[in-house]
Amino acid sequence: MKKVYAICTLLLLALSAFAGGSQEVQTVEPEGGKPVLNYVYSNVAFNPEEEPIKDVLEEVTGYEVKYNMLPAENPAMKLNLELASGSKYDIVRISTDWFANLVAQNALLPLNDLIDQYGPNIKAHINPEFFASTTVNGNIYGIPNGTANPYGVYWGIAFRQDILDEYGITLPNDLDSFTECLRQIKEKTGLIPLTTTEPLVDHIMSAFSLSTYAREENGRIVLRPQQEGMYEYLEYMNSLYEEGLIDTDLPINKKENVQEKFVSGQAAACLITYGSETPMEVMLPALRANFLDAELSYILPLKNSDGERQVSQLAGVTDMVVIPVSSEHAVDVIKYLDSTLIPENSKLLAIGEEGVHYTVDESGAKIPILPKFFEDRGNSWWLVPLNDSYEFSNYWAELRIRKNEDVFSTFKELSKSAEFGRIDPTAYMPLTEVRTEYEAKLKNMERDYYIQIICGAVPLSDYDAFVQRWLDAGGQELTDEINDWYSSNN
Amino acid sequence: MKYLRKAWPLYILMLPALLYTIVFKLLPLYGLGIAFKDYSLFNGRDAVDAIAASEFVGLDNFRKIFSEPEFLKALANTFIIGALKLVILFPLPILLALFINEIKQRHLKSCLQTICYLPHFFSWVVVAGIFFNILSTSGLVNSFLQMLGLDKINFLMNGKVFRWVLVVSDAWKETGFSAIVYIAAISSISTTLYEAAEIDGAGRFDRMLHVTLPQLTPSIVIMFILKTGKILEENYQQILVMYNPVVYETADVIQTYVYRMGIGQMDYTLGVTVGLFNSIISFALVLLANLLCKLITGRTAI
Amino acid sequence: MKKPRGFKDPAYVIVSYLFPIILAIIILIPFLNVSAKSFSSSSAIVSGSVFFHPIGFDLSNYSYILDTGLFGKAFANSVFVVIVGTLLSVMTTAMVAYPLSKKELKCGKFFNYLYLFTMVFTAGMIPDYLLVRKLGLSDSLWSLILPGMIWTYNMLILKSYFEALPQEVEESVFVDGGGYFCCFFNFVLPLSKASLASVALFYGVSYWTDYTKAMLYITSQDKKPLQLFLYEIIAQGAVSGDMSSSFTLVSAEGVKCATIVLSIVPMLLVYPFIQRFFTAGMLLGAVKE
Repeated sequence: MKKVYAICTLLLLALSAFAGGSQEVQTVEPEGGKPVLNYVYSNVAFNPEEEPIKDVLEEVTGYEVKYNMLPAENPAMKLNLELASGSKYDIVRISTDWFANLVAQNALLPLNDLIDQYGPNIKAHINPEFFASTTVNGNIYGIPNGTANPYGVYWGIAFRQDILDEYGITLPNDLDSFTECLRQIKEKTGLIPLTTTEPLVDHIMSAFSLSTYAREENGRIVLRPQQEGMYEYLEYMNSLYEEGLIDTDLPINKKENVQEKFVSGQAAACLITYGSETPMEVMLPALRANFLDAELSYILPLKNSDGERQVSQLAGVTDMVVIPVSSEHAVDVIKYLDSTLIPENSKLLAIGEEGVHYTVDESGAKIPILPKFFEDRGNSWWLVPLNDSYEFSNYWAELRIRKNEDVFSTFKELSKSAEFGRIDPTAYMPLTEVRTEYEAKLKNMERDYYIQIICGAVPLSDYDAFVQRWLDAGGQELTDEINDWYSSNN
Repeated sequence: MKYLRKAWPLYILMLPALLYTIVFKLLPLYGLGIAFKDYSLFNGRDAVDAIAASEFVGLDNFRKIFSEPEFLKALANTFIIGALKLVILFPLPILLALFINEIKQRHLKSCLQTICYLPHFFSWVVVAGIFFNILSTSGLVNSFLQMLGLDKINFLMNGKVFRWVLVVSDAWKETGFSAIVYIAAISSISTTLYEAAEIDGAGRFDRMLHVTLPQLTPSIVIMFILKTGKILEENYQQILVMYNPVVYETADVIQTYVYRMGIGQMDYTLGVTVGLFNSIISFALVLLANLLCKLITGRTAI
Repeated sequence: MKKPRGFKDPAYVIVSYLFPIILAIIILIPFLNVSAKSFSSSSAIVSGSVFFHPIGFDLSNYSYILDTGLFGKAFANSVFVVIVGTLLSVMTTAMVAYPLSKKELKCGKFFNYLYLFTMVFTAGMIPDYLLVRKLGLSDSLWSLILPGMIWTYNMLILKSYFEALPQEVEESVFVDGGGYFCCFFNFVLPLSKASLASVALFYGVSYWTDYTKAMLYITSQDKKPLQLFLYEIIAQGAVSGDMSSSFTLVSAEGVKCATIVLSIVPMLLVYPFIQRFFTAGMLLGAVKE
């Protein structure tokens, strides 16, 4: 027995000495051919090696790409670590919040000359306005992905019309009728009138003339906590909460809870989106299964005292492609990116071929051919590094939103609010160190505070003190910097 | 010399572990330098070189953190919650082990053990989901209270009650698994001791009190000291998933505070600084616990 | 002459049965709920109507996970890490706990404090990451084993156990002319089965459930261990605003439940084996020799 133990031990120790091979990111140079490019992107659940789009990309551009995925948690940190340790990545696809950090750390290559020389399609098909978000001190550090036509409205409030009909309650249009509607729901049905996870509700904020995070007031840019109407909004929400007109579980609700409450009929109204926070392709069928005559009605943003409506709209640069300084193939990267933006390529990569992947109906709208469209192009978004700014809704939004009828109908409903959309004046402001340092932290601090105030954990009288704390924690610096940019650009 | 001739095998046996400790535990401590510097990943040729290349700032990082009143509140909460958990959660696995030991039906015993240690494998995200379901204002417990004609309790949004929620959910999750150490220890108690006690007229309860428990003392001592060392790093995962802004007052601990402060910033310095602070305090606590055990039971872990 | 028993015993026995049984019930209930959901249809889950048995029996949650083709590889990776890791860990930990349990070891106290120190002092994720990289372990399964190979926690458990072993056994070995190696491999280890088993369980469980190391060190798809694979499925499902999401008609909650069941079932199967070691009277025979 002792011999066995001893031998085992020695074997294992010996094995561990051969601690497995290092698998750092390789740069492979095939003989006389184009180099293999290393592409890094955020976490996704599918295996890029198995996606048809991979082959299409290779065919169309002539470049082979190796895909490296970042982890789901702390991807920014992992990316930073890898870059700092000299990993040879060539193309990195990041979201805007990591950008300034990488720039500040001198981790990115300036691309001005490269684009001038090798990127004619890049210049032609990406909105020059967007480059403002990726330019620092005149150096372009990233190629932006965005859309020239704002996305539209992402969130809305849907009421169970069947419940409203049954009890003779009218769909609200302004603040008073909204309160009244919720009260009647509570009185007559005992259900939770409105359930949500977030303290800021666009359609209600509209009644207080609030919409975007930054807006102009008397020639200056003012950020949300200091905006006129913010205090009144919070006061109103607090009164709703105290009266039980908003789900008391608001602070602890997770999106599954909200979905469940709405679908099981515990709540009469809920915040809805066509995105995955409220997956309508699952929720609507479930709702109909539970309540045969269930019908949803969406409200428009509530009118303010002047009878106006407003909602904030998504716009601007969503993510971008950058090249780290450690890359040895910058020229090839630009050539690769450029070739994906050649119009026929761009279209092929995004939506495939007419007749194979989609058809065009009488109104000119494109309809996807299921399931081929999603098999071949469903995951294109992640693997195709750039999209044509001017064709976003054509290539990307239109077809994908039709993936499911329920999702599409939700999208159409929410789009009705789009005519009241306001775009944040800082949407195209370049990212700076100050913004990166403070923005996320401040927004978090705000959200926490709004929840505390709405739920009564903190008295309303504390609001001014909060604003002061907010200013001290970076709010003042941020506001000042934004105003500097705004006044010099307008 | 005679000592070495006899004892050299012992040193050989220790060798692999020593190598491991030097490479994987002591070398990285070089990174603690970040706590005293204005560190940025890209300051030097590579991330490691950057440590040496970054500017030395002495205790500045510490000063910055300690001056925040929220941090001090988080510190207080950390200790309070840690102490609460230690006092309540420490005896439970011991009791469970003792009770299970009394169960004579082999299959029942084995079945119960397996079920009890299951929750350890649920992640806190899952456990939080379970407790939310039960404790929300429209959940099981509150419905039950309503049935009895009592007021609803807002478990998850009431600061004081929330701490107890943390304790109870931790007990639910970990008691079974933590009992394993004790179950293993009990199983190696020589049966002759029990036989002797029985002859002396001791019933089951007495046997537990006079044989089992004393024999468990070494394990109990070790576990106590180890658990004390973990108070500060304890379960921030749990709190992160279960808390909400309404209970920050009483439930925000050091790690959750650091997490919130670090959002959007990739600020490593903060993490290392607080980590170092935690380590120093934990070390002191462990030594203290060691001393305590020595005084009370005459045995120590070290 | 037997003393009268009184209340103590019956009361004690009743409590001894009740406590674990009640605990087991309040643990089983949510677990049943989770596994029921994993087998239920998405509409039933979203409506919150699933309690203890599946509604609208549906295997799509499982097929969603198992169909991706990476599941098998991830599983194999985890198995490798668990087996090799546990063996290595238990061996090396026991090998260091033994000398430290001997009072006659010179410098013993120093090492004890050293281990305590390393237990509490860590420099954090960054230096660990950099070290692993420098050692060439990036993206290797060994990066999941070596950095966490020895825990002071487990070492102290074994040490305390070794300390409590009766001296007579060792003394008789020395009398017979054997040395410490002989003591350790032939006598101490066989007598410590219960303690070794529990330490093996702790290491094994940790190797099986850990995903943080994998998140940091593994980049290749085919080197991912199971937990990371499952975790990422859930995390991906939480991406918002993604119009090309691959989550079709499967409820995110259902998939989450399925991942839980998949990662727990192996544990359920393993523990009964470990339990064999926790039977009483292991020491008896040895001392009598």
